[in-house]
Amino acid sequence: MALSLILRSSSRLPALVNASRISCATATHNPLLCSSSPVNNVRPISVSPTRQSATGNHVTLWQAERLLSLGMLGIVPVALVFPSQGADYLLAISIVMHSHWGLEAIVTDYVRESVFGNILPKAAHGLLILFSAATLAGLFMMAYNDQGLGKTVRKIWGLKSN
Amino acid sequence: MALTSELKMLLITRGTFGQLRRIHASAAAQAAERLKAFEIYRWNPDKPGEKPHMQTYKVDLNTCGPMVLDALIKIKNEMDPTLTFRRSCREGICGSCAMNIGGTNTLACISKIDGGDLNKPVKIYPLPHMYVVKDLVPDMNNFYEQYRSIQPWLQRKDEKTEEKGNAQYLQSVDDRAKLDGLYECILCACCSTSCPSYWWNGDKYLGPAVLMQAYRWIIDSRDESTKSRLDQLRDPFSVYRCHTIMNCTRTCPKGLNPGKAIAEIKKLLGGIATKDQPGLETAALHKK
Repeated sequence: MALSLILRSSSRLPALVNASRISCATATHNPLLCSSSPVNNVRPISVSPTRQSATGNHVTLWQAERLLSLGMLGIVPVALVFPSQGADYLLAISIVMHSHWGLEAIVTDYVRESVFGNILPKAAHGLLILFSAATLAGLFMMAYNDQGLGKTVRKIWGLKSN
Repeated sequence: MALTSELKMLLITRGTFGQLRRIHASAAAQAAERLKAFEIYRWNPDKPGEKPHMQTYKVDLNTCGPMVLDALIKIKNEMDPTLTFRRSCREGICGSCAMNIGGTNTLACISKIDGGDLNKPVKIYPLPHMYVVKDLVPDMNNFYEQYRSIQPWLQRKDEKTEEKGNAQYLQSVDDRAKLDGLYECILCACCSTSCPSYWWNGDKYLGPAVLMQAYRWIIDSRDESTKSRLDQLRDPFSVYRCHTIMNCTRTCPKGLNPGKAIAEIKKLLGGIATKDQPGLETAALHKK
């Protein structure tokens, strides 16, 4: 294989082959260098990066996402039809978890290490956690100090335009 | 006796076919030219200073075959021998001539030239978001490497007693039917290169074509490596970068459904579905 590559390139790059022959004569203590240098002059055919390995287990998160989606089919109507503080907390948690996992998938898809380096993707994930935590705190405050999420949504729908 | 009469018939009809061809050829020459513009992506690695550009060729549809590949071959033969593309079987079974034609990933050999509107040019690009080797030739190494990683061959646990070549493995008709719609894939990469997730994370996400083949081996009733095949896919990238965008199914030139195969993999991984027991004892003939 290596020989055929050398033969193929020798017609195109006579000067480089000559140069490698000269270096062979001077660097006889390392025969590997001599044989590899003409091969290095051949233009690589593959230009795409090799496959990177990914680790971790995503299955439990996928299951949790499906379960939550299923649960929200019940939680959302209950919290709106029968507003209570408990239902408000449950609604706040499920909305924030649902949006957090959705946004996390977007961050993982787009803010990726092969483009943004090692630091920015981690920072983006950190920012997302802060954002989700702030949203959860806001919704909890609403449930604890104010009238709560369910009643607020009902109030917005109950507004009449003059 | 029958052979000689057949030979005679052949000799008689040979002249007729030649005449027919001559009539067709003269009719084509008499008809007015139907020029169609083909705008083709060009990039030459030997000229590193030159940026990729579109080059327009005018092809007379009267003297050209019906498919886009016919036009490409005509351009290469008669106008510009430097135009570079892959092709082999010219009938949609090898997958070599996969490219982006008019905004859709498809096989040039089975997509017809639109002869209705001659003013509308045919735009041809290489498969999107792939590294280009030259003109319409993309670098498929990563794609093939990913295909290799799913180990696309039949795996048995007990290969010592089931000596190869001695007996067949049994598979029920129903079990065989599960492979329909999966085994027909020709790995042209039209689906994978139409997938935005594969564009952004092609280094770690396996892509629809490879995942459909992974599923093809996972549900094969004769294969016994189901667990290790699934375990290989549990990470956040290999499968779970699929967000059911379904570009893969929409673009597949063979009419297959990779999106559904990925959903089936997710069901198997998530424990919602399980692989059935084989309908027949696979190694029954080896035990005799």
